[in-house]
Amino acid sequence: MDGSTATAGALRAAFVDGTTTATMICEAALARIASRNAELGAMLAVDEASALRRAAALDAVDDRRRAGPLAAVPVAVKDNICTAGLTTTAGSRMLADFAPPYSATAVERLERAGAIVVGKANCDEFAMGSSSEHSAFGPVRNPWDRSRTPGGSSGGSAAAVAAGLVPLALGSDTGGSVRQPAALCGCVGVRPTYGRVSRHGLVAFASSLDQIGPLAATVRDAAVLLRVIAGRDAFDATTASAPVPDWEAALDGDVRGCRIGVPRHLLASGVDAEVSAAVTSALEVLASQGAEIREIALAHTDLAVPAYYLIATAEASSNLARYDGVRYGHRASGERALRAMYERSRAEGFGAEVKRRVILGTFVLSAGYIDAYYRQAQQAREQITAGFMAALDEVDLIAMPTSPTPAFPLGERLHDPVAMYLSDVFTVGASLAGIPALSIPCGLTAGGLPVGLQLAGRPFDEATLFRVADAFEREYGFRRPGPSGAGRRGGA
Amino acid sequence: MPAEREDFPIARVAALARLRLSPAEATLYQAQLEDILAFVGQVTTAAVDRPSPGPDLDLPPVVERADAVSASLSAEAALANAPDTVGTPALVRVPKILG
Repeated sequence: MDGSTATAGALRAAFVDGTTTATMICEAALARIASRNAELGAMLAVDEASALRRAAALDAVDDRRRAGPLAAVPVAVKDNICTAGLTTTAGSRMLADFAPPYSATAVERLERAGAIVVGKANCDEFAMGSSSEHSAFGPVRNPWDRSRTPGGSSGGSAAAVAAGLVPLALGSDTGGSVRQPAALCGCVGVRPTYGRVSRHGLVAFASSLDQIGPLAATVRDAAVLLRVIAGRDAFDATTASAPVPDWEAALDGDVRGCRIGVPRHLLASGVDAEVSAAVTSALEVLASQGAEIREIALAHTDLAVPAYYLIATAEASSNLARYDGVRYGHRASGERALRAMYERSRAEGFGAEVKRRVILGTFVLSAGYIDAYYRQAQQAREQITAGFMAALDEVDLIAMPTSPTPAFPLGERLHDPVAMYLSDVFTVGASLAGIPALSIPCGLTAGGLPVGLQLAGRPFDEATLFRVADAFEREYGFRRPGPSGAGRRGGA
Repeated sequence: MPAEREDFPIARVAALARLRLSPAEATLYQAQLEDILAFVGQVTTAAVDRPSPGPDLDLPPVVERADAVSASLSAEAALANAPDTVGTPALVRVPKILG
């Protein structure tokens, strides 16, 4: 079995039926990381010893029929998700040596399901970015074209899955940080409904928006991973008690009668022609499978990116106030006054994008500006949410591109923050509304770069998202890039 | 319409954010933040009154955990990442607050 192309489901099945061992699967994943990570920059810390110990423990169990749903499956975890004893940097110099005393709930659930955490995936610092260039430890490169960004902020997770280093990864999505890199790297990425997955142990960026979500090569694998990590958690009061369905059991390929709304007014300008063509073709595939495609209006979406960047930076300025060099994180040396120690520790520990966002967030919460900016953005958020809910009264899903462009060259938007923020134009709406959304590969450009189709649904109705995406995937048959990094064409 | 462009008070806000900026950073961020504010400032002039109440979202209620003593991190584990400690049991050491 080729572990670089096998799905998580196939790896587990091979482990359960005795065709292979967890140790062999784990060793192969570690070898792939060792051979390709230097060129991709996808992984930061790799804990070989711990991963192999876990694999040996799985192999030592005689009866594998009761193995967990992710037994023996290697998983990469975005480096803003805490892993006990394994460095969790959030891509920041501030946390370069931070070894969490506990694991995130999502990680604990992964391990309880038999998964093997092989290491931590590179990301934009504190998950702030859309290109994975804002990591203090160097950029991530796109496996389809290493001169281009994998997207961000979960770029390491997406690149690791796309390159076949691991079949599954955890990312986090605040304004699109799972979906956009999934689109740019040609894999499946899911932002669950807000409250579906515990944020306990996720390094906080913008708490009303942050969600942990899966990245995978297939919809089925993503559904299994989400089922494992979802559900109520006493450590996160915002998690929902809503039941967690067996999503993969409902993947029957039947989309007949499913109403899919397309806000064509959003696609009229600013969308790359090849992206637009791929999304249009994908909708035709779904229509040929029996889905009903309708044009819909989404109100106030022109305000989504501005509202998102006001709310997210306001929350970030508050959340990141904890990094003061006192209890953990970087402390500047030699300062004899407390305030000077705070200011220098933060100046030395944070990178440029984090500083910009903390300053902007502080400004929009400051006296004299909070009403004009922050409160007005919250009003806009309510209007945008109402617009999504009104649309989802008429249709079952909303479809649009995940990203307006394919992967862009490294450095292209690094010094133009507004251009970078506009990478999120199609993803921030679902984030603000708290609704589930996923990105699925739907085509390749003439230059061989993946394009993602985004589907968004009603709160806690991930089932419809998975069912429709799986049906499309059956028809489209997308493949990951080959070991050389050169893309292989998808298509039925 | 974007908000009216004005000088971004970079020094005042950086001080509020407890960030020491070099002169080069202050100049760069001031220009970039003015661009960003001109963009995000669209919301300041948008007509975004609260929407009329729509259909209930039927979101599950938030459940709080019981107010009961439970296991927690040891002091040793909680302080393991502290940049500077002193004494036994350990305490975090910081510069003087009052001169």
